Amino acid sequence: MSSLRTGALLLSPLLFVLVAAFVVPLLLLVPTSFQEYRPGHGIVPDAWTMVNYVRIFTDDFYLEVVLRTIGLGVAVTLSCLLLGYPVAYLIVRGNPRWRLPLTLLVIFPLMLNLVVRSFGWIVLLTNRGVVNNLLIDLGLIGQPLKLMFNTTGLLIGLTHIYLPFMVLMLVAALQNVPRDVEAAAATLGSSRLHVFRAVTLPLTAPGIIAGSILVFVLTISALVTPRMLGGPTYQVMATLIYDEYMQLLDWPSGSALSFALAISTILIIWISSRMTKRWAGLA
Amino acid sequence: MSNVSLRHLVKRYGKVSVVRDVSLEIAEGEFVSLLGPSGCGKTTILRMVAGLIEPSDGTITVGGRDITRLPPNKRNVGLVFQSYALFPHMTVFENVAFGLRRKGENGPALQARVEEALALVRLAGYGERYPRQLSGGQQQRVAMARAIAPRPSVLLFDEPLSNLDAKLRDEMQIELKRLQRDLKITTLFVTHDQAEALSLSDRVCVMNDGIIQQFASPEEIYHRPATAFVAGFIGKPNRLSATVRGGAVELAGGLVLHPTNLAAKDGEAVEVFIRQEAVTLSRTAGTEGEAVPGTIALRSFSGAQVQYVVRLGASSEIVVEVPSSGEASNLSQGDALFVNIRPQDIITLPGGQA
Repeated sequence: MSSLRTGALLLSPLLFVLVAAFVVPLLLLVPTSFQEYRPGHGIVPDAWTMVNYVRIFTDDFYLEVVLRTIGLGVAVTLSCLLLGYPVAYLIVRGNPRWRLPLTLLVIFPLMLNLVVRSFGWIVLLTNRGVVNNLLIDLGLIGQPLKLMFNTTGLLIGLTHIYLPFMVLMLVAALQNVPRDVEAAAATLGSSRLHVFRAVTLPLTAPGIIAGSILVFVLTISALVTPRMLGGPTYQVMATLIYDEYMQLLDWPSGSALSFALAISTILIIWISSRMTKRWAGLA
Repeated sequence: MSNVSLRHLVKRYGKVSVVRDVSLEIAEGEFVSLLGPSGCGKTTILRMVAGLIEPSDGTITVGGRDITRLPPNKRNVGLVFQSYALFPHMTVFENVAFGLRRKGENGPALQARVEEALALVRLAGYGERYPRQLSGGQQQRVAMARAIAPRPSVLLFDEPLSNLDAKLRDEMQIELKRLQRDLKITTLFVTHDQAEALSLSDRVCVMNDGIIQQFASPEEIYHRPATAFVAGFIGKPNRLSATVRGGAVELAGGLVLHPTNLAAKDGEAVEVFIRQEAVTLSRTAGTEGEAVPGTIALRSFSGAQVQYVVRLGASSEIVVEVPSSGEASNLSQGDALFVNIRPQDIITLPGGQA
C-alpha cells in the first residue's frame, strides 16, 4: 500500500468528523454573513449586503471590541510567556527530583472546571473581594481597586487559565536544547546570561511560537472567563458573537464577526511566526 | 606558556569516585590523549579542565594560572564535542565568529580571522551555509575551526571522531594531526579508540576506573605496558596464565617460553601477553626466537588480515593475525606449523590484576 493511501486512511475518521461537523456548517455561515438582518423581522430573504463587515471597522463600538480582544490576546500571551519561561526552565534544568511535582503543579489547575476557577477569581477580585479587603485592612489603599469588569480582571484570569499550556510547550522546547551546544557557547567565552540570550532562547523559538499561538487563539476565543470576569457590559469578540447569535438573534452580524475574528487571528499568527523565525535564524 | 597541570584531581558523585587522585603534566604544545574504556573518567577530566564540571578536590593550572574555580567562559579553552554542538541557528561564519566576538573582535579583523580558521579546516567559502546543510565530517571541521579561531591556550577534544564513519574518521585523523602540528596548541584528546590515541599523540595516558594506568609515549605504551590492564587493552593481545620457573615462564599446558625481561621471581604466578600481530607462522621452525609447534584450529579472513586460532600443546590456544598478502595466509584447518615468537614480544606482568 502506498504511504499516501495509508495516510489518507489514517486521516479519514477525523477528516469525516471535521468536514461534517465543522467545515460544512462553517461554509453555510459564509452566505449568512452577507445577508441583511432587520430587527423585529429577522433575516431578509435574497437581500445581500456588505454592511455586516463594514460595520466592524466603522462602528466605534465594534472596533473597540475588536481591538480590545486582540490587545488582550497579545497581553495574555506575553504574560504567559514571561511567567511561564522561568517555570519551564526550572522544570527542565532544576533538580530532577522536582520535575514531576512541579509538572503536576502546573497541570493541576486544568483538572478543575473552568467555571469554578473563574468563580475563584471573582471571589478574589471583586470590590469586596479577598484582595481588596486585604489591601484595605493593611492600609495600603483607601478605596477598593477596580480589578473586575475591565482589562485587569480578564488579564489576570486568562493568564492563570492558559499558563499551563504555555509551560508545557516551553518544557518540550527546552528539553530539545542540547546541553553540549550551551556548553560550547560557555567555553567560547559566553557568560551564563549571554548563553541564554544567544543560544537557549533562540533554540526554544519553536516552542515559544507554538505556545504563543496556542495561548493567543485560546484567549481571543475564550467565552466563559470573559463573561464571568468581564460582566455583561465589558465585551470581547467571543462574548459579542455569543450575544449577537443568542440574545439578538442577529446571525448575519454574528457570522461576519466570527469570520473577521478567524481571519485576523490567522494573519496575526502568520506575521508573528515569521518574525520569530527570522529572529531565531530558522527561516 | 600554556602547559597544563592537573594535581590530585578528584571527582566524586555521592559515594562514587569517578576520578581518583589524577595528576598529569602536559607540556606546552604537547598532544596528550586520555585513553580508556567508557566510564574510566576520561571525559570527566576533560570537562573539569573545560570548567563544565567542578572537581571535588585538586587543582588545575594552565600556564601557571590556577583555573580550578573559574567559570568556563574565563578559561580560554577550545572544546570540540563528539556531538559537534554547533549553533544550529547560526551560519558557519557566525559559528566560527562566536568566540571571536566574545573577545571583542569585529569588522575586517573578525572577517579575516574567521576566514583564516575556515581555510585551516579546508572549508573556505562555506561561511554562508547552515550546519544542517553540511555532512558530519564538515560539521566537525566547523566545530574545530570554531574552537581554534579564538586562539585558546588549550584545545580539548571529547571523542570528536566517534560519530563519523570509519573512512571519514581516518581522513579526519590525518587532518587533526596536521592542524595540531601547524598550530602547536597544547591539546588534550579524549578517546576510547587506541589506534586514534597512538597515532595522534605525543604521549598517551591510559586510564581505568578513575586512575592513571600508564602515561608514556605511544611506543612505550605499546611495547612496554606498565600494568596488566594496559597490556590487555592495547593492541590485540593473547592473554595466558603462567608460572615463573627457572628464568622462564611455564604455561598451563607445560609449554615453556623465555621472555627477555622477566622481573618476577621463581614460583610466582604471572600473566603472559603475546600480541596477535607480533607473531609469525611458518611450516619449518624459524631461526629467531622460539618456534612453538602447533596446529590450526580455525581460520578467519577479514580483508587485509587473516586470523588463525592456533592450538599449542595440550590446552593452550592463541590467536595469530597475519597479513593476507603474506605466505602464511593460505593455511587451512588442521595444518601443523610453527609459531615463531621473539623473546622481546613476550610481555610478562604480575598476575592477579585486572
